Amino acid sequence: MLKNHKIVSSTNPDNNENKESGLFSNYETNPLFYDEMFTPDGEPREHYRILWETLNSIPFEQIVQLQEQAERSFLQDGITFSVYGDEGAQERIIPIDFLPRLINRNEWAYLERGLTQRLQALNSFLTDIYGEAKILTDGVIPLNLVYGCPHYRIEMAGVTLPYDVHVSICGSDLVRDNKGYMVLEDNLRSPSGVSYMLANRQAIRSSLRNLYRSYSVLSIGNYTNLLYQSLAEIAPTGVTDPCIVLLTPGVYNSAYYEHMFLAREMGIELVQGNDLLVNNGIVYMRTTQGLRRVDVIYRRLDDSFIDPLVFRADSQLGVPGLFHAFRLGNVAIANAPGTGVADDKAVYYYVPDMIRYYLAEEPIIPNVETHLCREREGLEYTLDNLDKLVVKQVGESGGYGMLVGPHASQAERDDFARQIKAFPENYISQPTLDISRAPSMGENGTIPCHVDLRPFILQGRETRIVPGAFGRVALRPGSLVVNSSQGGGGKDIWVLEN
Amino acid sequence: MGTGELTLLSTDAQNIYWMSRYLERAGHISRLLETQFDLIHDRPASDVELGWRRIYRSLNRTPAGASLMPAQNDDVVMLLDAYTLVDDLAFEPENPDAIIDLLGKARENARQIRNILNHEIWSTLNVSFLGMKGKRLKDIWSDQPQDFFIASSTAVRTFCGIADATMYRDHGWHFFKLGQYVERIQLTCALLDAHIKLFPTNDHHWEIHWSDLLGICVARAAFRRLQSVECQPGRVLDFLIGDARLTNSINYGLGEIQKRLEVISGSPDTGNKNTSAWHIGMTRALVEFEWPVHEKGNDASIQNLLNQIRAGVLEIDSQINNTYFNYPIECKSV
Repeated sequence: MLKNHKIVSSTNPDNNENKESGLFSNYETNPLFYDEMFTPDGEPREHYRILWETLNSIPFEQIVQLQEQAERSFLQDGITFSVYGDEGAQERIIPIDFLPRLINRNEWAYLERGLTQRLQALNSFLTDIYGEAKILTDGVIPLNLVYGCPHYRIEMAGVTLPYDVHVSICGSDLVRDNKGYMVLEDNLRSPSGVSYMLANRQAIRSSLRNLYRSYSVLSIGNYTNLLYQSLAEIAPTGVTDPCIVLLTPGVYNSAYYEHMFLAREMGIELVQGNDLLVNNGIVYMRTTQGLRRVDVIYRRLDDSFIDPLVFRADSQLGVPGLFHAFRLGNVAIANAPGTGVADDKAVYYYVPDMIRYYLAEEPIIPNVETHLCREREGLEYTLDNLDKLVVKQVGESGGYGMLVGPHASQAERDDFARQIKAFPENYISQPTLDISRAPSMGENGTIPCHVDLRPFILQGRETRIVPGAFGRVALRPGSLVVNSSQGGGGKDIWVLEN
Repeated sequence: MGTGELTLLSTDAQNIYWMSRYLERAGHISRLLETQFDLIHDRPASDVELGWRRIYRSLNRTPAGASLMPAQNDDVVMLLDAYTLVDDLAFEPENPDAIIDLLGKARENARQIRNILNHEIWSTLNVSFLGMKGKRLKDIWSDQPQDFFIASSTAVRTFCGIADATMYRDHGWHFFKLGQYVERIQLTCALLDAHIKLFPTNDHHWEIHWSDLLGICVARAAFRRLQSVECQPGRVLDFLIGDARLTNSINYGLGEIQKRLEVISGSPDTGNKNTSAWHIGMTRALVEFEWPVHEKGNDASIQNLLNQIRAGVLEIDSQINNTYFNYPIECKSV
């Protein structure tokens, strides 16, 4: 059943006739998808009511102008990401959706608990598999799944870390359907998007100043302070005032804006591999006044590239000898090498079991139902139901290497089936989710678009989460893919105090 | 969170230094073209031709496609029309010193150090670049093409003004100023050299061209106020080379370089040979003790002096690179 929302503003009754924007008048809900803003009977949810009333009182042309102004500010400030195509890297802005997504305090508290629990289990898992590997010998997770994972780093075996923190920064993707929230995936290597979370907030707050003030929105402004604190806490033993740097692959990396932004906000140096060197197991950076010791490296490049002496020998991005310095405990690296094994899409399947195994608790936020093609049952189910499933490669991210069965042609499905049969260990499948939708700006009003959110969880001596997330929206009508490289946009997430 | 130190990463210093150099060069070429448009509008064809020769000789450039021409050296400018020459200097993709390319390179340098630039500085450069990016000569030619060059030189000056007003006075600031003056002195020396070859100092028929020269160097008003309305070549050269208060003079620039190097190195010591401090001392001495050499008919001596200054500044540039950007590790205590 589709509902049509004919909305009449109640904030400025005297002026309604002239000023009503009709922003939501053609917005349609669909009971198949949970709608973040409207109840199934078409009423705005309680915490959305002020937003609904306020935006309805603004003429539509003015809303369009405000949206354009926000996008222009992104371009002028250089808040961009790079897309690689035939013409080389191009700078693009992440489209920003003007309408924030609201989350009430209780709901957020639930998510915080669930995310904290999850990261604790994941860090315990990483400490375990690079140590005694009890979870493997106890048969909770198949040994060959972990040791066969390309992101498992044998070089990490026996390395102990302060507070057993392997993952200092985690970005978990959450989606919601009619039954509630689910974790779609965990990003444990170099999760990105936090700068857009902060930039979106700044842009939307200044465009919708009055609306923002009408709500008590919890602040996310101290994220970089908390990040700095978390990084400082994992510094080598005895270092009280650590020198922290952010290691970037360089200006052509798609997330370079974010690297620059975080370094600037934390007041730390943004370095590339050739700015660093290792001498006698100590890492130094090259400054205009000579060499300066580095204690903590927040690296934003993959394991494979951080040290050509240990990982990829052809890497021009890393620092020869860095891993040796790390093993000696002379420098901390966040996230530690080898964390990718825990965000492998097949290992993901076992995260609920990790939570039960290490914490003796039931998972607070469930996983999405997942079928492992490496197992016969999962393989057969996947091949029999390709038209209903989303198939993903276990080591891929960013929306690449996946098949959305219901939207694919028969030829594409046949091609994927061949690939799955040839290398089943490389694939998992999940049902096509009825991901929740929220109103987003369209050309003539609001349209329902699928949304997700990526909160960032920080781990030092303790777990820290700012009340907000990088909200993403699939701006192509009907699309389920929210990744910015695949036509997705950003959406500000407001966690409400009351 | 910060280090509390005034030093900075070598690559950041290098990026600031080069950003500043590219901007200075873009501003200089924009001013050359601004002046050239004045010539095109108001002067006889012979003056316009001399103006082109001055530009191309000072930039040591042959227009793109000149190899296809029968003429040699800068005679080729005679065979090309203004449209082609302006395009060559402003937009030609094969010209590494085309204005658009220089602004793009400066912006690329700035992108790499955005974490240490404040928002005002970055957005000024970014907005200027985005406004000019993708422009072609045909887009501006039918209207008022000189407006484009006025806009680009204004953008550079605005950027420098905002930097001056807002940049924290750490080593980043001093490398910014170093790049600016290293580039400015080299460009000014080259411009004076080319100018003297075309307009010998003992020939007083060229007064208007000496006035143009002051215009390019943003020194005309000050010269008239402090010296004379009459642009006598010797006095113009005195002003552009030796004046200690003219920000575009060679003497002023060398003084700035010396000051910045002292702050960065933490010492005014010039005793050690082959340091940048030693070279700047030697180069300044050329202006202080060798200048003026503008006796009648002695243009060769002036040109020789200009070449020595250029060589000295080139050596300083090399020393800056070897001392602060790409130094061998064993030179710095670990």
